[in-house]
Amino acid sequence: MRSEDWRKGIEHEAASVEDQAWAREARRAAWGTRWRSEAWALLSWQRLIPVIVAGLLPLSVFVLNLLPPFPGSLLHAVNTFVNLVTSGTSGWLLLLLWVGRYAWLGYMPWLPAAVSAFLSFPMLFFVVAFHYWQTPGEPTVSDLPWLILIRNTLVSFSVLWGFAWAISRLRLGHRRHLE
Amino acid sequence: MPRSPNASPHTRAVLQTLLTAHPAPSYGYDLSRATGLKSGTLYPILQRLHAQGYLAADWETSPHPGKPPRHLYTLTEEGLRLARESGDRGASQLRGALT
Repeated sequence: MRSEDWRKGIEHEAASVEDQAWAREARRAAWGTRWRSEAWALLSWQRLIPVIVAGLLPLSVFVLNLLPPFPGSLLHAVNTFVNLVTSGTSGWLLLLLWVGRYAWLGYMPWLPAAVSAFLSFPMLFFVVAFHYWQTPGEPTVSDLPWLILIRNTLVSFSVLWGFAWAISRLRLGHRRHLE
Repeated sequence: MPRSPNASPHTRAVLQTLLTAHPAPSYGYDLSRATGLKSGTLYPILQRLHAQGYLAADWETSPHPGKPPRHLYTLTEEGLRLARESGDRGASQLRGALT
């Protein structure tokens, strides 16, 4: 029996009894069972790879700097590609796809949004900060804009949550349509 | 001495309640009322006993229209043995404490 069946078992039990206080407590337990099992499922290395890649995308600049210079004809294409990768667009796209996938699979929308926002954005921030520390005379740890990090992470979480929620509603509509 | 994974007082209480009801199945709500355990404690125990093969869980279609199917829990043969052993162990511990 899967943990999903156990959760349904608790929820159905809560819906079947007349003891409302017990039913409320059982629903809370079912919710706890669900989010814990989904969190454990999401927090595995294989599943987190896209989130980690999104957080580490700025590192591609360092990797490209290590390569031999490109011939003139290729330079424009490479520059466009590097700009696209490091501007955040591809990172965002990757996170949206990741969050959307798990919302479509039936995970609670806030969970993949929280995992991706609280993991990739601080990672991205520290990668960029590390890049600046390589340059002499640049800001130190105490000069880091912590408030910006917190604000941007929370904003990212909200946006990703909204997107995941929209996907989960679409999924619900799709399932109703199939039934 | 290593502790048996099903030796906690809560697990023993669940096993004894299921044993008393056997062969009749029990609902989660009845187990919760009989043992005094909250669902947050009871269901992880039931899940563990089921995963270890001591407990069978089946769906029962509700006779009341509009109500969802409920889970019914019954001890398996292994579960019956475990429940009897845990009852004996509990009784001998109590005797030891009193003498």
